[in-house]
Amino acid sequence: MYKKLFFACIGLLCTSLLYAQTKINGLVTDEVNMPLAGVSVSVKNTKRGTATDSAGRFTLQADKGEIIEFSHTGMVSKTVVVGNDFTINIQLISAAVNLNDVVIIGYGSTKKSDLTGSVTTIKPDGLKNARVGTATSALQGLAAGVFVSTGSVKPGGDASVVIRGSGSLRAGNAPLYVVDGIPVEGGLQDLSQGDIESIEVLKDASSAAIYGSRGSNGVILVTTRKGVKGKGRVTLNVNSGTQRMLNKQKMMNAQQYYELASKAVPDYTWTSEELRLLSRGESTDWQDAITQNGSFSNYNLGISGGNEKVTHFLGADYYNQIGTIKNSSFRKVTLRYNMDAQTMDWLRTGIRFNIIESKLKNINEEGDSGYGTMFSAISSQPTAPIFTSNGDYFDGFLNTKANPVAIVDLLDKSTAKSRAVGSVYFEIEPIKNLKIRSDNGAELEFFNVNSYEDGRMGQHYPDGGHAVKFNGKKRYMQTENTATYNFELSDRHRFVVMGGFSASKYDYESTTADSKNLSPILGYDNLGGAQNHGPNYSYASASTLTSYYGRVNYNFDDRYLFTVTMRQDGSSRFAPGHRWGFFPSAALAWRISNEQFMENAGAVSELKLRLSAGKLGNQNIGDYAYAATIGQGGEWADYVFGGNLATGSVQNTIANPNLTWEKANQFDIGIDFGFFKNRIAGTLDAYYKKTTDLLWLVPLPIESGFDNSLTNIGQIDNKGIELSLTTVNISTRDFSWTTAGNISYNQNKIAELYGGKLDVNKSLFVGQPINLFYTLKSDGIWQTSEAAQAAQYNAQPGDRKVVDVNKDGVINGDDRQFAGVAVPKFYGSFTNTFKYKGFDLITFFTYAGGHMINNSLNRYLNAFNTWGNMGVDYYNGYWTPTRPSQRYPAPRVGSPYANGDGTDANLQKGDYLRLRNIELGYSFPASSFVRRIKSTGMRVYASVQNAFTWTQFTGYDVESGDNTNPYPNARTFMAGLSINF
Amino acid sequence: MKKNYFIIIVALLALSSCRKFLTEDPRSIQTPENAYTTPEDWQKTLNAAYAAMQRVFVGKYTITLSEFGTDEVEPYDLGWAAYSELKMYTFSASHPFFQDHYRVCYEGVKRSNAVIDMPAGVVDNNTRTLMVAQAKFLRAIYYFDLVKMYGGVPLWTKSSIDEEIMKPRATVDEVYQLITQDMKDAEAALPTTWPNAADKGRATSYAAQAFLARIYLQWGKPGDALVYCNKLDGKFHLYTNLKDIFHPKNKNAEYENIFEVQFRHSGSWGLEGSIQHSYWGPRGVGGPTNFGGWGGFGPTNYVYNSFENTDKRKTAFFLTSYNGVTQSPACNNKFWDPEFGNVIEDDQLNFILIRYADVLLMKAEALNAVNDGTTAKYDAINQVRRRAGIADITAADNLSQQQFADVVLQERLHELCFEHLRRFDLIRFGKLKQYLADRAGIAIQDHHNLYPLPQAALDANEAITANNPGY
Repeated sequence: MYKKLFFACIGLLCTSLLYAQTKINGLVTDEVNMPLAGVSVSVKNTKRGTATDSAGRFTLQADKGEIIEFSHTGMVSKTVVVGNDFTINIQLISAAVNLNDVVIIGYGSTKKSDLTGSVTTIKPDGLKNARVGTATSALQGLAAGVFVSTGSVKPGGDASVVIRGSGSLRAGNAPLYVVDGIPVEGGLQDLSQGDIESIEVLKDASSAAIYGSRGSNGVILVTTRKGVKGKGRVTLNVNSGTQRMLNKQKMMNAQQYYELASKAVPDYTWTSEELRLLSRGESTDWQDAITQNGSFSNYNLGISGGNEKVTHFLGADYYNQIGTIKNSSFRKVTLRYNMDAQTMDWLRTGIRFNIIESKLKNINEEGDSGYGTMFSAISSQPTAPIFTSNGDYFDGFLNTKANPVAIVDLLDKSTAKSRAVGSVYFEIEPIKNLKIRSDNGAELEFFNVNSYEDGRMGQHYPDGGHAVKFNGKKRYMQTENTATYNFELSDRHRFVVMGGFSASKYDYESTTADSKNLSPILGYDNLGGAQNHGPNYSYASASTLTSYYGRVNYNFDDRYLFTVTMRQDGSSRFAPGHRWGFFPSAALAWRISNEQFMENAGAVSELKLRLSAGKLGNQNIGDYAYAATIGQGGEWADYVFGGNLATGSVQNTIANPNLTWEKANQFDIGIDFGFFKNRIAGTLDAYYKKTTDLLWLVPLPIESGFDNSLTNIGQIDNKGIELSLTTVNISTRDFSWTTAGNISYNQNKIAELYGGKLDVNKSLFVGQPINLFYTLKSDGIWQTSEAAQAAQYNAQPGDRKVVDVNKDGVINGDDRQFAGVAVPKFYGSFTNTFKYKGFDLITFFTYAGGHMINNSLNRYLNAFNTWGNMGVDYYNGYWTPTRPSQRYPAPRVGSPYANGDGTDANLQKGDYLRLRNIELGYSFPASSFVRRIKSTGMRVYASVQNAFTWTQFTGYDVESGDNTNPYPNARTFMAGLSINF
Repeated sequence: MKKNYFIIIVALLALSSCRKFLTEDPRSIQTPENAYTTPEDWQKTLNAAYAAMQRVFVGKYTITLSEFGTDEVEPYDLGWAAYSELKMYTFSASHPFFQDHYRVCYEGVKRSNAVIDMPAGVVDNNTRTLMVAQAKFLRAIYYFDLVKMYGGVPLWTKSSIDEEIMKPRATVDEVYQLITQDMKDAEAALPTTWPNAADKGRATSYAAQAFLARIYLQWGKPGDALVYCNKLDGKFHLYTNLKDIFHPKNKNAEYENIFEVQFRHSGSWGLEGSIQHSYWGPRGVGGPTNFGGWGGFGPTNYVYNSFENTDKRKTAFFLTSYNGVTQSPACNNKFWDPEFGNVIEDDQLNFILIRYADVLLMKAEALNAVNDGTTAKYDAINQVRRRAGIADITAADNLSQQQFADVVLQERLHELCFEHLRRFDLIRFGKLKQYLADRAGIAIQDHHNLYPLPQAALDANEAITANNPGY
């Protein structure tokens, strides 16, 4: 402090003594240390001023003590008092909003200020909060109204996205993903985060209507990086880390298991191997036996450059993750080349090309409870040794479980994907401001699953080995042809008119070959050498879509903005006569801040009111869903006569020629606001999405022999509010603090369901949300004093008490009650970014709540079973006459509702708050030692991802999609380096 | 202007080609338009109607539902609620096996109805009559399984789904009337045996007669049952060697076995192989790959101990030790495939749905029930007892009608154990509650003679207003 004061005094002294202008020079960079061109640099209260050049540099005459102001559209201005230093390097940080930002909308782009719809732009900077996992999972928390559930945390696992609530029961709730104009199935899992320039989320009807029949769940548009003219640029990002499994379940040890099982089933037969292990006082921890510390690394290289005529971008990315379950891993390589060329004055051409190669090593993770690895590890008895005394894998498990260690050791299964996506465009400008563009793209994907199951994996696996090879091929082609005309009738009336036509075709085919008893060395690579073949399958399907679309934007005096959009879609997925659908929308925006009466409201830098309404569709019902299908062959249909196979055919579904689109009518009202030169900015939206003609498998009486009939029926309403807010709290020369956060609230309700009827089996009730739990209500444990009452319900003291709601003396379906919803009612995130000189610190939290989770693992953990192990919590908490617990039933064979099935006993609150990323970085400026390696800047950082979670949920992960055989989540410690040339 | 014409022409071309562009016909599945055009198509439809039997009778559901809650079989895997609830009678209507069983039975009904409603003209008339008769035979079998388990159930007799689909429960008598009529129609049209080896496994008039006997007995009409037992007199025989009954080499021999659900070892798990060896094989010997079983369930100690030691069935039908591993309780050795029993879910054992020993015991039961004064009932039961090497029962034993009935019931246990009959035998003889209490120590209520209709069936059909009493 004294030192500072001293220097300040010296400075003042010098200023007054010398009072001579000096040449000040310096470099202005943005938050990611990229040079900022065109920054206005001026000396306050003088006419001296300049702007930074394309390398971000400036020179200026200034006196000591004078104040230099740096300002740039969309950035928070900074001022610096000239001191002794003649070099002033400065970093500007973004304002909370930049109204000049270009926002990509379907088939075009617009300025942020001219936007009429509800569109959220996500900058790639935000994605780094989730460096482990896919680009889809990285979207979590980055946009209000966009609910991203992590779903699967296995290496290569993907997240799921729902925008503004689930409006569909059957046709899927995933948004449409469009990457550089090409729709992508299954999200952004193949995309390299380093290739992304921006992500736009189109949420309301007006912005999504241009995608018509595919827009009802919202649209996520991804634009990849392009070259910039000028100096070439090389960016290298390297990071790597280690992963520690979280939430290991606390199980009983062998001695506890022995004591409990012997008590509950006195004639339980222990194998000699188990008795040997017990006699040695040992215990097997199966979770430890199959897990390890995972690791992760990612290398990303971006090279871009160009001149006035041609720009290009080359991206290369390598991602490698070794899972926390042994033998599971994921590896992905992506290459991208984007090029744009102004070939003639009137002709612009370009290509987008991307190749992806990925390989996932499977270990029966998720979705496979019977022989699933994690489930087997949880439920294998601790009394069982991993290996028998003669070195074989122990295989004496009850029922059909496999030795989990044998699975991770021996299973050879991988899922490989090779994908190429590309497009070329031609854009001509025959007259000024009329652009005619033809964009033609194609995608080819090969999807390959190879598996070899060794007979030693356990009794469920064929002795001589079992190999399966699955090959899928997907082909997609599209042509999009648009004409866009910009014109002005006067200064005050500006128009953009766009019209277009598109056609696309998708086809898919697959083959599965299955063989048994074959060479363990050649495995799936030589099925011909196997003794037994089949069942073999093949499948093929195709669909087409043709569309006409148009949009008119009208801007009156930068005060009133109108947009009208329409699209007509024809889809092969519906029966003849029902193939065409029309999807219109309109929007109006009023830029209140540009009105004269707002001139004196200096604090308000932006105020815009938006209104939009429109109709969108959903055609995601699979191919040929309108037709009655007659299945041929297979275990379920074939029979045997005279010892020979007799192929059977069965009608599995009934026809519905009237099947048509799901229609989502959506109304949106929103306000965009910015205060104090946009240092505080945000968006508040309220919406009402009414999905009608719901595609739903209407249940048929079981007696019909059909399960259901796909019908357009019913209505789901989603109403919600979204708020996002960004504030630049502090911005001084050396220190800045910004905060961004959002919260979304969605209310989902079934408004109508086939004439007011219910679908109890699927828990669908008019007036209630979907994804509802409708179960019996458990109420602790029957106590000894209640024996008589318990007997009435076929129960004994120590059994689970289930509430006889209607008091008719019988527990049955009539006693079920609503027990919460599985989907969060609210969710969001908040981020704080602190910068001090070269240091930066980011904390990123996500949260969700108001929902229940069926912790299905507790069926096994918290109830006596001879399947295998139980939780130590059960051991310490089950009922005995002398320990009258209210938590877990006594270990009695045949105890009704003991495992909680059919009741709410295993439902847990799903609310959580998660510190998803905490990251500390240091940036070396261009002027530092990095000059010596010709670098223009370098940042090193360390981060802990998925650092901590506050929740009452006791399973492996509060966001997991599979709770019975989950892939455990992990905490990642990582360090990285990013360097620019 | 010329330019405008050009645009219009292009637009028209685009529109007309659109219709073609938007037509995509299913490629891997058939639709009713192309699935029923040849006689072979209808044969495939009939094949599928047969195929539902594989799941109804050899899937878990019929085994567990007809054997667990009896004195004959019990689940060993008691930690699994679905199993132990059936044993202990603590199940509710939501028990998953009821729903699964109910669903597969009606799947069989649907497939049978498709054939019964076959339009004339595609298949020649003789073949068509034979096919419809087989389908009626199958429909009767599926409805019989339903009515035994749940009592009166809704009757679907048409393949059309356009009529009223919310059908109320029919009465037990109405269901039995449909079943017996279907079986009689089948009996009238079907041959006594199929001459071509390729047709072995199809329903025959003998099979229809045997089932009519079983159905009428269960319906409480022993007089009618007797008529059909008599029709089969001398048409079938008993193997001298008990091991021959279930041996895969004797599949479809039509010697003792009257009707069998067909399976074959296919080398591919999940195809047409049977699961019986894996279900019942010896426990603790290293699983099916060593000819062992999964050990989820098996015989009770009671059933094994109830045999006289001289009874040949005690050694023929049970294993007390295998590969040095003691089986306690003894293991069921009826369903043993010496060739493919080591392949999981892919042995080639047929499941014998009805055989002559059963007909003989039914005859004895029916004669006793109608108070027949001749020695015919002794002749019938003694044929079975003699093969087992145990003493005859004669008039000299001076058994009352009730005592003779008890003897028949016990004889059925010893001869027909594990053949999915026990629960219904006990109910028919009025002994379920008493024997469970005496032999298994499980107390049940009278309403347990019927299972509840599955909750899912109630939820999906508004015309079913009430479950069975007690549920």
